[in-house]
Amino acid sequence: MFRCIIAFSFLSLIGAACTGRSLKSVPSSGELFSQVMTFDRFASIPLGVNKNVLEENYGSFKTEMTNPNVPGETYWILRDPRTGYQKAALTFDDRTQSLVTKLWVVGAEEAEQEPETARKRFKTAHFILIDLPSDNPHLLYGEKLLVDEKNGITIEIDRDRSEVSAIQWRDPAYRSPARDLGDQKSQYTF
Amino acid sequence: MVFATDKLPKDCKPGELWVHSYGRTQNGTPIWVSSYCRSFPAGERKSFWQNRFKDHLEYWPNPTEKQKRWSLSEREKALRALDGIPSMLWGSKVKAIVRFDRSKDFPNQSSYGGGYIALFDAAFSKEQNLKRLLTHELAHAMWNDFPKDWKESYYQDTGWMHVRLGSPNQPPVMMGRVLGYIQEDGRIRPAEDFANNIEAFLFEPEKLREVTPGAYKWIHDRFGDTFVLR
Repeated sequence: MFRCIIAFSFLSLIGAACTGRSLKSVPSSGELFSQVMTFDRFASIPLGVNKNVLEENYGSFKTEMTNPNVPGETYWILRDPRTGYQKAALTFDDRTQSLVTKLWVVGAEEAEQEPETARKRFKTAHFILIDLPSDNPHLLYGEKLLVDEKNGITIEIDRDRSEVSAIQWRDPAYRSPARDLGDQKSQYTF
Repeated sequence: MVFATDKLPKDCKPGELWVHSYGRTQNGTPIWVSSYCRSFPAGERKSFWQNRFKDHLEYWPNPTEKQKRWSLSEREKALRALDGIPSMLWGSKVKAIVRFDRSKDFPNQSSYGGGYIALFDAAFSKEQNLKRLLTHELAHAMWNDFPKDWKESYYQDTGWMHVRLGSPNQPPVMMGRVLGYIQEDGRIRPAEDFANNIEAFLFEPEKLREVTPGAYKWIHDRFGDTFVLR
């Protein structure tokens, strides 16, 4: 077995030398993540694409899950292997297996953290600013959102820090069962 | 953003105040200041809150809530309560503590927002634990000012996920863990969950350790053994 590996490696070296190709090592999961998970690449993932198409690039970072309160949807939670923190989420419609929403968590080191920079990334979008009142009596202020309903884009802004926290794309025609769940009146205890 | 030079609250010595990281601009260039411990002499400790009791604010977002003057006894009661709360929670972001008569969401006793803590009449009722109430509001102030990495780390350790429930033009609702909330309203938002867990860590640590071990560990790892009531 050991001998076979040596032989294989040696042949690979010769092969690479003969063809002029450099030897390319398999990237670590951290390297692969930083190659695949850039804002530009993520933004270019088309909504409506089939789940299987995304498996090759994103499958190794995903935790697939469902929510019993939201039947009909499956989520991919994509985590950065270097920190373990979530970097993005993809939502699939179980009926069609197609991508219906995607969410990018904007990191502190990204230019899109600045609201105006994030807005300018969407050249054809027409955002309206929604200054949400708090639905929590303990907290006086809610979030700020830049919303383009027509194109299904939402930029979430952390009010206290004036930073973009997340950017979400959704198929405007898709009505998520999670929509009603999140809109239920919150019940706070005193 | 967390740098190697960042101090955790537990790194501060007794008598020091923890100031967490923040961004600012210097000559037009954005810079990031790592979190640090600063000296907090006894004299300053005494005056820290006294200067923050306000009788009047120019603006308040809830017009039906009426401001009122602090009575001497209420002020003393609040000062005693604050003095018992570990100074790691004494965020310098809290600009003022203000008295109001009745919350628009009665029987709500207190609120936080924009650096202001509101205490309503209900907060001073006999059965109310003012120290616990103020701990909760100070935890809200701390959460609102946390840098992203701290929030992401909290999400990861306590089972919050960036999947949005609800309509796109409504407050974003994150998907939380299924079980393990020390108070039921914690499942609505991470901010409420965090404030409930800080409160429980100080007032019912064994219960928190049992119900939400991830939150207990997260708080303990950062705030350490000295994060206790005085």
